[in-house]
Amino acid sequence: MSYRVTVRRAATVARFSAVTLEAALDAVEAAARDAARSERRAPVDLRVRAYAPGDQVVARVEVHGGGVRAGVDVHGDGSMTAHTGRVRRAPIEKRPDETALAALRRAVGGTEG
Amino acid sequence: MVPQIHRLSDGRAFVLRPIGPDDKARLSDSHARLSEESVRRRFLAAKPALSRADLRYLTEVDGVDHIAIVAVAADDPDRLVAVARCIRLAQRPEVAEWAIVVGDELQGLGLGGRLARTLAEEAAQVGIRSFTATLFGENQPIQGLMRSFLGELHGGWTGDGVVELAGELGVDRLAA
Repeated sequence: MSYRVTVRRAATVARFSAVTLEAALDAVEAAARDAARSERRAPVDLRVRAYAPGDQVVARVEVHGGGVRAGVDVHGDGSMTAHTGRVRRAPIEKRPDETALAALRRAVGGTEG
Repeated sequence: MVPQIHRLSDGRAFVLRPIGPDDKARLSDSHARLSEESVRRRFLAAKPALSRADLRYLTEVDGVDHIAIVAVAADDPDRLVAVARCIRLAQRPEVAEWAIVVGDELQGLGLGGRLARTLAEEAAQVGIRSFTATLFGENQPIQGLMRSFLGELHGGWTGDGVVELAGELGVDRLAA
């Protein structure tokens, strides 16, 4: 079984392969944390609509393989949201005191990193 | 999306393609060429220039939650003349907010309709089922354009002369 991790950040798309789900989720976490550290956005004011940094997605990191299709969105304020699916994404609700990355691992069957 | 050629009845040709991060300068130039009235109709207010944050947001799109199709002159690919975009609503993921702007000299010639239809086809492929738009009630050309590919529109006045309209992306209409 192999898993593919896709990291979309602005103009770039990077792909990695991982042999295990754990390794794939580790790669997801590393890429998401890196984006959260380094990619921030200013507010966008289009007059008819304004988008706060938290409304903007600066990176999307997804894992695909072995029946798993899920990922995290990193927002312009450094926050993250986890989801399953790709085109029709369903948000993964975080439990109290749970991070989005931990929620992702729980939802796809990985262990806490 | 594969780039498409759209030719006006006068022979001028335009390439329709997804927007990309490299389009920041083209989009900024395009915005600067718009008349004050076209800017006011697009943004419902004065918007003399697009900020760096605006340009980043408007060009670095994911093609799933935020789709934007541009038209550039076939004989001058750096001349961006129109943009249609839709942004999926976070709380209602089957609905996307829609907007279009066409350079003043090309309004009413059919380019906007083709662009809007192309955007609708792309949106339908990623599960978007309807568009909603916020515009001036007096902006009949855009309302007519919306009806041309969305059919019947629903909605009403939100105040200050602004209406919020919505329509379904009918597969039959898109195929017509």
